[in-house]
Amino acid sequence: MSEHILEVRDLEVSFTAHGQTVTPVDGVSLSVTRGEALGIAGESGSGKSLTLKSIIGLLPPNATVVGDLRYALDDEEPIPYAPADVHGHGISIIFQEPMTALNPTMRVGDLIAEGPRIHHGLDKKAARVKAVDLMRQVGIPTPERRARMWPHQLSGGLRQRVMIAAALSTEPSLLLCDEPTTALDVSIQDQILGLLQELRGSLGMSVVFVSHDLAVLGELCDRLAIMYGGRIVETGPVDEVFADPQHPYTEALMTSVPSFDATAEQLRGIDGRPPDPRAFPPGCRFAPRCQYARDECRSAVHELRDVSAGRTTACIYPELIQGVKR
Amino acid sequence: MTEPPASAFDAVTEVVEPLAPLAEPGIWKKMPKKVYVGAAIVLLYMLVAVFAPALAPYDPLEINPVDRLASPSAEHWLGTDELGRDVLSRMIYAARIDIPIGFLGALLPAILGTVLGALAGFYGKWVDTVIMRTADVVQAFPAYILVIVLVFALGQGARSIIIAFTVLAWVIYTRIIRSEVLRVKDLDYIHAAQVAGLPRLRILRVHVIPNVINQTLVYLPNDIVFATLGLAAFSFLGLGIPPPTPEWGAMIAEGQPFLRTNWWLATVPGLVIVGLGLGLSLVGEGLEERLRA
Repeated sequence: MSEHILEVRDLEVSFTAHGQTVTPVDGVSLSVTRGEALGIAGESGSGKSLTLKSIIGLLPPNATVVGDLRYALDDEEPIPYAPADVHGHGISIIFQEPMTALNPTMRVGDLIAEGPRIHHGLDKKAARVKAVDLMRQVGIPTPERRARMWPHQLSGGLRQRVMIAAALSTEPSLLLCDEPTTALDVSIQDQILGLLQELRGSLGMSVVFVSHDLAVLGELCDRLAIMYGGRIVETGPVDEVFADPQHPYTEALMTSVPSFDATAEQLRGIDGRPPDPRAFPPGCRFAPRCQYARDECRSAVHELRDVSAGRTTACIYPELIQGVKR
Repeated sequence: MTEPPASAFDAVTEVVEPLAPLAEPGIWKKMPKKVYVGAAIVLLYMLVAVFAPALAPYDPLEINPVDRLASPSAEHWLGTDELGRDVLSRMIYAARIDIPIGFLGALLPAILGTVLGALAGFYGKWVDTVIMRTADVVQAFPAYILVIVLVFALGQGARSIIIAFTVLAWVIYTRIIRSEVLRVKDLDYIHAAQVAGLPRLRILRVHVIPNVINQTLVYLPNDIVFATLGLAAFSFLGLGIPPPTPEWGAMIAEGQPFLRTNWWLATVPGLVIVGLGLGLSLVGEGLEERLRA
């Protein structure tokens, strides 16, 4: 039995328009072990969502994907797959916006029952029972009654639970999460995170969770991958990354998380702008915004290298990082 | 009509605690009043068509040379035409021609156009190219020439008219639906259905079409008006329903020479067509307010 359930190597996603090619995901490699929750953090445009969507083949038709994607079904070794192979068999996804992620013309119970009917050959009645069970499992009160409701009759939190139930209906071993808590208010966010954590434990699923919110990732994930400018710049166990970032971008991200003690004047952002994928800077892509940058950084080859057990960084001078100051 | 359609879940509801009744979305709730007014008008026309034999005082085809071009009277409420036929009876029987042709002449292209538009938008690539280039050709072709050709090829009558409308009118539905499908196709619930591994055709049928079909429903009543007017126009030109079958457009044409003396012969059928058009327009406008909101 292989340890890895998903392996992504040298993933590149590019778009060509008007004779110009942009590569918003530029050489991403990552792996997920069984039962693990991997968090991918990064700002808008870092390529985190595209990375997630290329795993499941949800990119727009004008995208070009290059790279080696392997997925391990059952207890086999990870093997190359086409997205259609894992649709309904192994990988599911939940989205950010609960408003647009549920078909408004379908009762939520019918929506959840669809997967079991198609894939597990259940008849209408058995699929209904299964849907109600799933709804109960994701903590929807009075599921028999709510199964008959339309999406617009449910609150955002309940819709998100319905989406999770639908994603679980095909019994995935890997659940992809595309910022599923971003559109929810904080208390609901917490409930959904708790639910995902619980489901992960009880179902033994692996999770890949994409978010810009470090606090959310810290709560759910075992391991973090930080993305910047279409590349992964640092990976490691969540606690270690938080305690001792090995890349200046990670450090800057954590410094810019507002804390209760900070007053408005003390809020810190990261100077400069996120890089434009049409013209990534040479060398380390964070160098133009990096407070520690030296001349060598602008020509440095981007390569993740091990710094300690289970930790990698793309920074060539991680020893310069002073740590997070609050 | 406020009752929601029966759900697959009706059987599983062993609800423990009594809850407030479900607030069903009910598409019929919150319909603007004009939909009901318009639907009442259209229903009245349909009832007249259905019960024509009971309502008409005379045989619409019965010629009475003695009583030609009579003015309205207790015997003939709308007078008689140049062959002495009772105009009211002809008006009533004409509803049996104009209404079915108007509805079919809009419904068939609506179905054809919706299906083609959904296929073009959903499958893209060569399917899209073939369908949309065909649409361009049809749209570039002069409509009246096509009808004339069809009437000469298939003969005069309802069949030719309905075929002509179907061949011509699907294009607008295809364009509307295709653009809607392109919008819906990129929404997360379609992606979710894809990832759930549902068959393509099922995604199209269950997840795409129900979310775009309202565009067809909004346009349909207006198109019925066009089809009815179109039929009247073709009959007026002698391309529609051949005499002696009563038809509103043909009656306008027959009454035209007597506009100075017996003005009602042409005017009343005209007003009747306007009335039907008004009813259908009210329905269309109301549906638009409700469905496109």
